[in-house]
Amino acid sequence: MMPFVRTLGRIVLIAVAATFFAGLTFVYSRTVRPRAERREFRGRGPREQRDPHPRPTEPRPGAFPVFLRQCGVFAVVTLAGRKILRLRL
Amino acid sequence: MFFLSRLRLIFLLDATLLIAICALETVNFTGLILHEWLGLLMPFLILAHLLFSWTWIAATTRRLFSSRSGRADTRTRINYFLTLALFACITAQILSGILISQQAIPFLTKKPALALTENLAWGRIHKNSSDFAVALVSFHLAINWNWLAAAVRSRLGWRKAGAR
Repeated sequence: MMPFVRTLGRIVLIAVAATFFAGLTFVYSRTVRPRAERREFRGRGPREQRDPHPRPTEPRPGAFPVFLRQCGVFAVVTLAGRKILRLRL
Repeated sequence: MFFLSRLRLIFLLDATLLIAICALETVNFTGLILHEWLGLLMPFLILAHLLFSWTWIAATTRRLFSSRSGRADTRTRINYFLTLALFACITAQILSGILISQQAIPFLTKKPALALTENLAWGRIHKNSSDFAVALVSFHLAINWNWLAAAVRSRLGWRKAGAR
C-alpha cells in the first residue's frame, strides 16, 4: 500500500508542476502574435496558406531519410553539448 | 523466465522516448495521425521517466534548496535547471499540440477541429517549443552521457551473456 501511495504522491507533484508550466504557457500565449498579423509578414499569409505541400495525414515511408536526418541533428547537437559540458564546471 | 531489471527497463524507456521524440519532430515521415497519437502517449512516457528518476530529482531538489544538505556543484545545478527547462518546454509542446490537434483530440472529444488559421499563436508556440526541445533533449543527453554510456555497455554485456 505504501509504495502505491508514495508513487501517487509523486504523480500529483509532477502534475502540479506541469499545471504550473501550462499556466505559464497560457500567459505567454496572450503575448504571442501570429506572424500573419504582423506588419512585416503582411501579404505573405499564414504558413498553412503559403505552404503548397501541407502535412500528410498518413505516414510516408518514403520520408524515412527525413527521420534519419532528424536523428543526425540530435546526434550533432548532443556531441556539441558534450564538448561544451566537458568543460570543468 | 524473462526478467527485466530496473536498469534495462529504464534504458528501454529512454530509448523509446528518444526514438519517439525524433519521430515527433518529423511529421512528414509519421503523418499527422501518428504524430498526434504519439504526442498523446508522450505524457505517460515522460511520467514514467520522471518516476524512475525520482531519487535524483528529490535528492537534487533538497541539495539545491536546503542549506543543511550541503551545496550542489555547478554541473548538478546546470543539469537540474536544464531538466526543469526541458520539462517546461515539453509541457508547452504537449499543451499547444492538444490545442491545435486536427485528428486525435477531435476523435476523442467528438468535436470538430478548430481551423489552423484560428490557432496561429498556438501553432507558433508548438513550433518554437519543438525547436527548443530538440536542443534541450540533446543537452539532457549530453550531460547524462556517462550514465547513458554505462547503460549501453551494460546492455551490450547482457546481450553477449544471452548469446551463449
